[in-house]
Amino acid sequence: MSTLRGWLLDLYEDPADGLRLWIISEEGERLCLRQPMPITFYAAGEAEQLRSLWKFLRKQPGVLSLSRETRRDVFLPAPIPVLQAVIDNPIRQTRIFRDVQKQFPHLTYYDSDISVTTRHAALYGTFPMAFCEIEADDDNNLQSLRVLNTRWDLSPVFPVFRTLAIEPDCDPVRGTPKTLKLHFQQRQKSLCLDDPAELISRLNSILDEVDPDFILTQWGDNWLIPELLKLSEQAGETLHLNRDAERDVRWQKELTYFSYGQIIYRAEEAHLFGRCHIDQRNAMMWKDYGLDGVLESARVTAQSIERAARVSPGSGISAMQMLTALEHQILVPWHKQQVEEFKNGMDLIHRDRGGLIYQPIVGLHSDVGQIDFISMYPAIIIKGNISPEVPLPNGIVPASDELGVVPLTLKPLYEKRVALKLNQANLRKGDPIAKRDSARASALKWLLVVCFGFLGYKNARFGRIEAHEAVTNGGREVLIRAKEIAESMGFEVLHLFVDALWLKKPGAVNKRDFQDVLNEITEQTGLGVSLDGVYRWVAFLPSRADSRIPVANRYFGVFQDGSSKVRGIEVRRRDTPPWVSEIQTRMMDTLAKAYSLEALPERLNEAFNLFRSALTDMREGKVPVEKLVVTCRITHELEAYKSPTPAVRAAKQLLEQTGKRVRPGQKMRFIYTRGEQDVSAWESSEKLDPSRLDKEKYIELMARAASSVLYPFGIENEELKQWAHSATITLPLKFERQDAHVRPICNHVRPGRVERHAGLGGRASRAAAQP
Amino acid sequence: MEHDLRSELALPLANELLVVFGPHAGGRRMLDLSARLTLRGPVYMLDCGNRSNMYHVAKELRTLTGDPAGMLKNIRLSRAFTCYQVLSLLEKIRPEPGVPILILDLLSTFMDESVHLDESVMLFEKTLTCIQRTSHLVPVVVSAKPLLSISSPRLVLLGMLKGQATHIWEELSLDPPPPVEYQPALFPGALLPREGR
Repeated sequence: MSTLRGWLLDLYEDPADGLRLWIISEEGERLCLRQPMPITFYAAGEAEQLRSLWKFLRKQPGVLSLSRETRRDVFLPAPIPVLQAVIDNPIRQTRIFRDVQKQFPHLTYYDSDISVTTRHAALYGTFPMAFCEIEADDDNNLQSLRVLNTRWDLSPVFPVFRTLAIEPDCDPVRGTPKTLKLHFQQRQKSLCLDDPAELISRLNSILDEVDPDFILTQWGDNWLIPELLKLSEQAGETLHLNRDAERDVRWQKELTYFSYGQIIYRAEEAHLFGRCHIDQRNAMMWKDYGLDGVLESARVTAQSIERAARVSPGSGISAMQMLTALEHQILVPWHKQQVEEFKNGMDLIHRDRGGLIYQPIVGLHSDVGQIDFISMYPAIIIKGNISPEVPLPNGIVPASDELGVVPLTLKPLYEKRVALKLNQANLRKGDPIAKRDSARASALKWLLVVCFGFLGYKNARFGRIEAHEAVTNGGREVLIRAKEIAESMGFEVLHLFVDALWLKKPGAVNKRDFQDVLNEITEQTGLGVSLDGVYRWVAFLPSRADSRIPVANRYFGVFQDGSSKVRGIEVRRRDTPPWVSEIQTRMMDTLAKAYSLEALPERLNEAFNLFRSALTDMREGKVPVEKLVVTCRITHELEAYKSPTPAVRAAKQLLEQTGKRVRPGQKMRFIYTRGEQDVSAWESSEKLDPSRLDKEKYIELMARAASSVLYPFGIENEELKQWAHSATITLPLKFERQDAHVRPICNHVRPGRVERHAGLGGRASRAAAQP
Repeated sequence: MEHDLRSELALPLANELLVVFGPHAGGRRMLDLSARLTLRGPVYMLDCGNRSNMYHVAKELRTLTGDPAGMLKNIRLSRAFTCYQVLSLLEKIRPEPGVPILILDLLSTFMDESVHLDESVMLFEKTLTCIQRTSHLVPVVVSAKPLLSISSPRLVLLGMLKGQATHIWEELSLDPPPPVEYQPALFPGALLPREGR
């Protein structure tokens, strides 16, 4: 018998052992331990049916015990009698349950499909990278396990990880990779793909030498690992991808699903045993928070690291809610069957509303403060105790004292994020800990962002549409109260958007001037608010279709520290070609150099020139074609489109040319071209003839993006488009400031300014600069 | 089963099962019908496809009555978002004499690919049994929409629903349902729909 301390890297089911756990010991050893793991599930329903189930289960191998118990289903008023079945092994439990639910479809099942990591977390308090004290016998059978830290530690300590990064030398979708680039232990190596035997042999020796905890790949799930396995078969040598030598790679099927208004495609996944494979291109939020964020997400949700990297934050919240339920001896339903209480038509109109929006006062404004509620909806869920099983509040005053499953789950998560943000404020910029904590806070933010939507999600085990509505009701209540507070303190409210307010007051020009209103809102609502910043100037834009109509959350502006903020315009859209995004960003960066409204006209000429020279570059064919790629998501099967969009036309073209089918949820990249085929699939094998490029289309896209930036200065979209295409019109533009702060856009447009293709000449700048 | 050729559903409705079949699950027609029914008293609305746009009902009611808000209170609405909830809802409802039941977009949740086809069929059979039983006691109007090719293996459900209907009201503007897609067969004659193979 020996005792050791170390970090839990991975755990998974095993048909013989129950569980296998991989530990990184304090001494740096990587150890595999075995642990029996009996699994319990429950069934409820008519006594006769339960009796039949009992008879059925009694004959099954591996059933350790069957008993009648009383348990709590949170959706029912009183505990219910259930049949409790304990099965000796997680794999056997899955098999038995599959048969049970087929044979007894009329029973209600609980705790039947919970992952083994969540069950282990509920029993032992474990989570990925938990620091544990372990007793094991000489055959590596685990005898006792004690977790020495928690999911909520602010500064967790990790062992020194061993990481191996592998990527091909080109995008396998667009070309044929010739070599693999490997990075490990501050070394780099290239392995040629030509000779399978040589490649697999060298790769195996690297894997054996490095023994990585993490294999980080590019296109690992859909190309690299399948290709390596194919080559390994050709070479007749097993590839040592798994640390557990008894295992093959586990494949998770590809998946298309609907999430938060989007069709999402998740490619097939390659999972390893004893170490973690993360395909950075198939990891959900890798670009946002990287490995630090993935580890934090795995830690708080108690999902395996490989899973936490790939699944949506909604799955993370679901795992956390199940863990909370297990920890509090609450049954986790297999299928949610609770339905909405009957309400009348007027009730539905009153309750089923979203967040509160006050349309902005369109135009340029200076010295505007933006106030945000900190994680408003999670805070309302916690403060208002909003959970499907408890009485719901009307507003944010809780209707019951006992915390429900949802607030119980969110409270520590919310508190941890706030604490991390506070810690970050005390760290200097560039501090590696600040960078790490920022990634961790981002991972927590995404979990908090989705928790509200998850309350209304159809398959959420602890979701309920009324609870979802109660949250937005609380949000509207709080925001309207904040508006009244601000107005009573002499502020003008320019815009309200769900959890944010844009305020201005004569004389309020820096952060200190907004502190009182922040304090008062916090005091009166009980929710935390923060000042996002004070804008030197901000432009709220109107609708493209009708400039008399304001549009919520469509603006750009510059804070006092020189950073800019942009919402709702082209640069934020995923389908904008990089060339258009870059020029629009540069135009806004140029305007951002203006320290005040008065200084803006000086920058206009510069911004306009960027637009003009971009058009020249396009006409002269100087724009690299890869910067013109448009990326759009395909949302249905290709045959389901009656009027195919350009992306769908490109996808059909790709299918015809290469046989590759784009699945719903996958992205399609294409170029606008001239001729019968007005698009060209980027992934197509044909090399694009530059003369086929539809320059007029790109000029139009650029004009549209530029007009968003120039609109506050009196240039309409149609005018700019016409100017960009033909140079046959003049652009009337004159910037003039009339009052202290508010300038409706329509007043900026003054006749008399004559400008031909040259953009804004020096005369214009000088004239505009005059007060 | 009869195909109804009238331009508008005559009221009062009889105690039978009427199926309204059309694009958007006859959404507008069902909401207009619910508005007219509220003038006569309470009406149950079971929304299985997120189609209960009460603003539309209110607008329609404005043309029919001076008290649209009062009439909206005659609607007893519950929404189901999964096929399990649809069945629970139908098992829960207690028919009241003279109170018609409108079921909007019944098939929508049964198209969920995350629910296995066999299970969908089992749940739908139970759902239809409930509907059939209820339609002997009160009028029941069910709406459904044509299925997309992606859901073609579940066409059987639409057939089951139509088979149980006393009348079927087909929207005139209806496009023909898309053809069923088949996987290439290994053996001649052994064609299988995309799902359920």
